[in-house]
Amino acid sequence: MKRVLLILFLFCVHLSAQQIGSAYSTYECEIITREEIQSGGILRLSDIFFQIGASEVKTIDGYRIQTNINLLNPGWDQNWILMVDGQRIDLDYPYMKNINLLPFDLSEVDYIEVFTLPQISSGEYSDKGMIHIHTVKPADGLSIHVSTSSASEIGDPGPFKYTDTNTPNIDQIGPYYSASISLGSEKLSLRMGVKHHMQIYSDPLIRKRMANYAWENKEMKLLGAYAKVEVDLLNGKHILFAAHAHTGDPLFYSVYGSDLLFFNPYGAEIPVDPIFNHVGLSGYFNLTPSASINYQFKFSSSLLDFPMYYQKPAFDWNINNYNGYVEFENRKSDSEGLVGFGINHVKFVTGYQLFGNSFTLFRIYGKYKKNYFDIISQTYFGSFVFDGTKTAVKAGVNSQIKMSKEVSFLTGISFSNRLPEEDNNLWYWSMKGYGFLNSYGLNYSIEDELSISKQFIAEAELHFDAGERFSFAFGGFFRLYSNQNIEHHNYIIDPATYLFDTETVVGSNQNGSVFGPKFTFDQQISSSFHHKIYYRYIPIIDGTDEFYDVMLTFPAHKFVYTISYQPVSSFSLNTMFTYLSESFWPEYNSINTDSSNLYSNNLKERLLIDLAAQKFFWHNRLRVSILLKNILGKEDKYHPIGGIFDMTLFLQVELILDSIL
Amino acid sequence: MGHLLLLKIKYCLFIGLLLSSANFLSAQDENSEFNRITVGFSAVKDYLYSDLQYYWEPQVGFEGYFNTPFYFGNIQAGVTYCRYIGYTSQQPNFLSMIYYIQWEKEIYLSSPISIAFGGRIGLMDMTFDETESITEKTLLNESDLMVGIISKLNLNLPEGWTITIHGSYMTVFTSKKMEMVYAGIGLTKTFLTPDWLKEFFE
Repeated sequence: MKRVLLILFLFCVHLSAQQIGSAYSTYECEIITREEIQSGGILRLSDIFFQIGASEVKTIDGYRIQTNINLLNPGWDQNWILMVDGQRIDLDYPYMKNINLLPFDLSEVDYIEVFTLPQISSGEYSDKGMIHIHTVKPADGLSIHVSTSSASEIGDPGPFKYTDTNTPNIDQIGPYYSASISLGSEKLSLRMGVKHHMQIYSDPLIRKRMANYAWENKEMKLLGAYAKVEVDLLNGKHILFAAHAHTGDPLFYSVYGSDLLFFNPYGAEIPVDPIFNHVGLSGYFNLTPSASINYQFKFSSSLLDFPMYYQKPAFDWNINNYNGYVEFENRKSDSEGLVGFGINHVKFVTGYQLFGNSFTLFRIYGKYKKNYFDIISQTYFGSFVFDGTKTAVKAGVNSQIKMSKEVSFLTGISFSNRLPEEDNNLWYWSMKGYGFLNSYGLNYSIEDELSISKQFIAEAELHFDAGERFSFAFGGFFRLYSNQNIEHHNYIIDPATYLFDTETVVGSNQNGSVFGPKFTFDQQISSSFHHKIYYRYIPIIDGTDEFYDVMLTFPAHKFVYTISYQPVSSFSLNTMFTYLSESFWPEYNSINTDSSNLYSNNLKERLLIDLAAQKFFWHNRLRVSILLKNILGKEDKYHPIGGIFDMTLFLQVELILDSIL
Repeated sequence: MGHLLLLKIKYCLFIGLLLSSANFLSAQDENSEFNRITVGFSAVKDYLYSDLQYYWEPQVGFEGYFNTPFYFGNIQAGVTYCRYIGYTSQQPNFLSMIYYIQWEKEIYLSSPISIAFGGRIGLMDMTFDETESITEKTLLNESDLMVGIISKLNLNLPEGWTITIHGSYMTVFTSKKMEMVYAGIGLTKTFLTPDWLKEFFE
């Protein structure tokens, strides 16, 4: 009875969408500051997904991470939008949007915006969420940044590998290197940087499945480089950003090392060499103090090279992506608005003709924000996306009602259609005749045509703000999805080889809904102590079998508690407690018995505790951080056939020489 | 196993006795962060090396470190060097370097004696001698997480010199955990931290 009353109570009050951890966060956008990134001790861009309250995580190796932002997607399609300094970054690879391919590291990040509700930002309608990374502005004069980091997971054999109690090696994480040089001035700045990552697939559970792969296919070497120019010109600001990344390069090592892509229809990893290029120009011209024209044009190419040349056919994934927009923005004291027009042209480069090797999407969008009597603030936004024959309509309104000085009621409601072209995924191109699946002998079927999917998103939150020291919010979320294209597998393991077999079915008319409460709390206990809580619960799921199956892969309960101690600006301690309830993976229903319980189709509930410490030296020019992750040594796992992440020590040293000349 | 338990109990009793006789009038309060720095050097020996003892014999090793006041205690960074000699040719000799950082609380007993206790975390880095049986060079190095507790007994001499007897109980998180008790004796010298170094720390 108590449980029913609790659910009814939570149902009535609804819940918040955001983590109010940062003073800058709003209910529709969670902001991770540079201070939070540093005090958390994390090393890689992808580690940020563990810091975001509203981010669900799926990973096999802990390095290549798939995320779902605030359950804005019924599953694990990586169709959220990634932005860097106002430019859309399209990592157009099947299944994986590995943000570690960006050629800079967290040491270059100023702050990260996570858009947890649909809205218009940087010329895009973010119906599946958006992560916008803002890099640090170069200091005046010449600056040099260098960073190196590495980690060690417990459980290696140590000297016992030379005894009869030998056990396999667990993991080698890193080393990671990055360096940048910049020249800054009031109106012009230039930054160039490089990064190199080494990542070894050595977890015993993963290696067991890849016993036949050569060592160089399990030892990734990633090299990236970028250049960024920022200039104040023509009464505005303009950014030119060029980036390149590829794997396989033995720059610092004598041996080649490819990347690995977990390819769902194959049920296992395929060695690949992603080659990613991006060049973009973005910025704005101020027409008057209150009006501006904003723009962005970019080109990117996402190529997957296939290092296993002895396998025929070769992977021939190669996408060129052109995207741009121009918008007019006007701001007044009690209102602001914008209208814009954008084009996205995508070309799939193959050695043979598809039923259309490219598509072009046109979009018209607008946003209007209005304050009424300093009590009500509403933002209306909408977009039309047109592919030449079909149109997707997207619209929503986010509202804030100030009930008193301390109490606000916040809501976000939106409805959107989504064209199959917007997902730009393996199934869209397979429908067009992309033949890799057939050539590789992989069984699949697509039920009917891929649909125009629909979603209705609603969130509400009651927010109490007692000044800078204390705030909390509670509310709820509701998602209604229809005509969804959901991929479904039934993996069967071969006990002799630990290889999987599956037939892939893409259901094109899947429907379902989810509902649940959320709670956030934030308090500055004293000048040195700060703590915060994030909690969300998914008690109700309804829908077709495929929809239900994929929603079960999210833990029903997620609870994060963080407490930090910072007696002086140059030293901090941070502790993060994360509780994740059990999750179920019906696609792997048979692996428990078939693998003699080596693998399991459910991920156990776990309480994880991470401890981090950082110290600055030499007037903030040298930073050293230590992160001890999973100190309780719980079975931390994010995929049924992925690795188990035991207690791990992360070390990082960063040299920040700003304005040395 | 019984031997291990007995040693753990003895170690805890040792710390308990020291604490019970302590005068908690700590001189630490008079110190602010980084205002003095202590350089130390010790000879050390691993007296308990769990399952390692069936395969390797530890030699006398050395430890060097820096120590300075840091938030309610002292922080110490150091490295311990020790060689382990294999009993048979199947177990190659190896060099162990333990890189650690440690926080400790120092308590002054009746002058000139003080004690300290605290915890440490670090990495035990092992470099194995190349032998004919090792074909892969990547197998020659191994690095694993180490955590431990420490205690010290200090006899303070004039002009900043101190004789220190110290012990550490450490666990290395290999698949079969290695538990080690290092005991050591050494000499330290304490200086006022030069301004340039204090600025670096701050």
